[in-house]
Amino acid sequence: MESSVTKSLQVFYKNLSLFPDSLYLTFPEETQKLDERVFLRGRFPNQGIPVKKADGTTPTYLLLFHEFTVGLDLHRESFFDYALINQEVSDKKTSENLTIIVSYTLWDNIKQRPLFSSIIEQNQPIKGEITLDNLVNISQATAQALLVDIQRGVGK
Amino acid sequence: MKSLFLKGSLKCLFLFFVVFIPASASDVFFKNPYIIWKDAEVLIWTPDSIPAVKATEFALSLKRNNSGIGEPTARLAGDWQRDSVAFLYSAWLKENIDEKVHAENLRARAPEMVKRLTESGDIMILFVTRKGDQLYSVLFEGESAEPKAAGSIPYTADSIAMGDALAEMFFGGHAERRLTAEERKKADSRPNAYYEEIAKFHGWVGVGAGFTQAKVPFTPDSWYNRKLRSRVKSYRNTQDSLSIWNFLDDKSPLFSVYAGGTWYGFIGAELFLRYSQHDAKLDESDTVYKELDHWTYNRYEIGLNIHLSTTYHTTSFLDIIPYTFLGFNYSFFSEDIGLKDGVKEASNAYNTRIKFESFYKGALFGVGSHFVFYDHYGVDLRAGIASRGRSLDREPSPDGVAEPTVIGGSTIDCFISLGLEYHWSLK
Repeated sequence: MESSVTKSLQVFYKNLSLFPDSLYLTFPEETQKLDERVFLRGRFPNQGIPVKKADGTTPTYLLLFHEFTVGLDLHRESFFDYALINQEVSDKKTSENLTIIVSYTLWDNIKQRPLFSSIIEQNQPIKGEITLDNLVNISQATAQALLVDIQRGVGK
Repeated sequence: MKSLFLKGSLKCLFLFFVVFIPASASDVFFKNPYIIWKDAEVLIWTPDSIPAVKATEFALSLKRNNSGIGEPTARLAGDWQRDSVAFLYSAWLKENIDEKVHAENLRARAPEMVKRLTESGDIMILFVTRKGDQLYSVLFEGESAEPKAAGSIPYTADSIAMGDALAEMFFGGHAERRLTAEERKKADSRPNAYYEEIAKFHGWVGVGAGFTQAKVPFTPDSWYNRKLRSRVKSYRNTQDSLSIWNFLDDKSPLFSVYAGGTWYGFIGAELFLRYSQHDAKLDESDTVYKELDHWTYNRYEIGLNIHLSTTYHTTSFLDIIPYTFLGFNYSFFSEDIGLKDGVKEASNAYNTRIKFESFYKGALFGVGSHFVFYDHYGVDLRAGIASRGRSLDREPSPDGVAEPTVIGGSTIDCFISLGLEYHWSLK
């Protein structure tokens, strides 16, 4: 799934490079407020220390993935909206959708400040059994949605 | 047409110049409320190798700029400049500060840095850094990792001029006395505005004007018709004498003065004096009244209410205090009667006219609300029902049945009143 997301992103961003999760986990954990009620919790690079690549160059922007949730019939409000997170969900026998929820931040690595944070939700109707193809498909769709969302965020 | 347009646009250009030239001298990006301490201790913090302002000169600049600031001291934050976490943040701050930035964007995020800033007590931290031909400055004050003010001034090598410009930009206005260690400890444990204590005692005095009548709204007319239609014949005869409204007109303006208070915003008491004037209802067909000029009664009521109330802080300037009250009162009907000029001797009926009791006891209850503006100025609206009647605390005599009914033994009316009040609180 990870590779299918990155492949989709690489089509659009030619010189995309990947940093390992272990680097992300060294950052201090913080909360960011997106809205009156919507908060996301994630790790952000330290103030004053730009993230460098292995060859010593400093990338201009970082795309920080905070959470990548895969599940059935999920709603992003149930995860991130503080007014709704305590809602209980009834037991279900069937599900209609395969869902991916991604929370991410576009980070200015030169000035070390967040440019844009967002949470996107991608749904795919389930027809019969869930196969690996389904997962690849929804990952690619999520990557496309991510691209659209970033363009919208940059436009702001 | 074209030349006219050109003239217009030139005028615009000229205006633009006038507006923009002074603004470029010193530019404040944002300024949130902060406290300027008397005898201020200012820490000058800079990532630059040569500080743009000198500490001793800056202290003098502060004194020159603000005469109320007392004996300020300033020093360079050497320990901050050597600390690696603080250095990282200062480098970041230098990189990120510009005209469009907001306070929350410049917040320190590293926990060590947050701790350093929030634990600085009442020391003011002035961050200065040179970027090109501008000197950028950021001010931190109080227990916040977010800067309180930021701005820029054109850089010159004259450190005294720089100090004066910074002092003018951030340190003008009223200076507050610095708290002692004990006072600060107390201030720290004080609840914030959202958790404010309710006053121990809340008092008010007021004057009110309103209206009173026997008929309670939304009750059937048939309850009152008999009393209200009744007229007094030959100074004393009515169909019924149980209610005073058989004799007197019930509708009258009502005036009151009152003073009261509540404890802990909940239970309280109120003393009041009320006044209203009621004309006697004469049967005009009775010729005996030809001699009469006027016959009215002034009603005075004095009493005590028990108040139960609750307080709502709605906006910064308005508190709404709805309440309900229950109390007792003494009613006095003072007669004002006069014969026409030229009537030598009053009729026999006049001399044997009706006499009310010297006083009546009664009870009243109702609801109302204080609307208190700016903690002190109140408007009050209340409505209720009051009764007055026979004293029930006398022992019944053996031949009680044969006793005549007490006149006005059951006199009930309702009232509505609007008051202007002054309020105060004792914490």
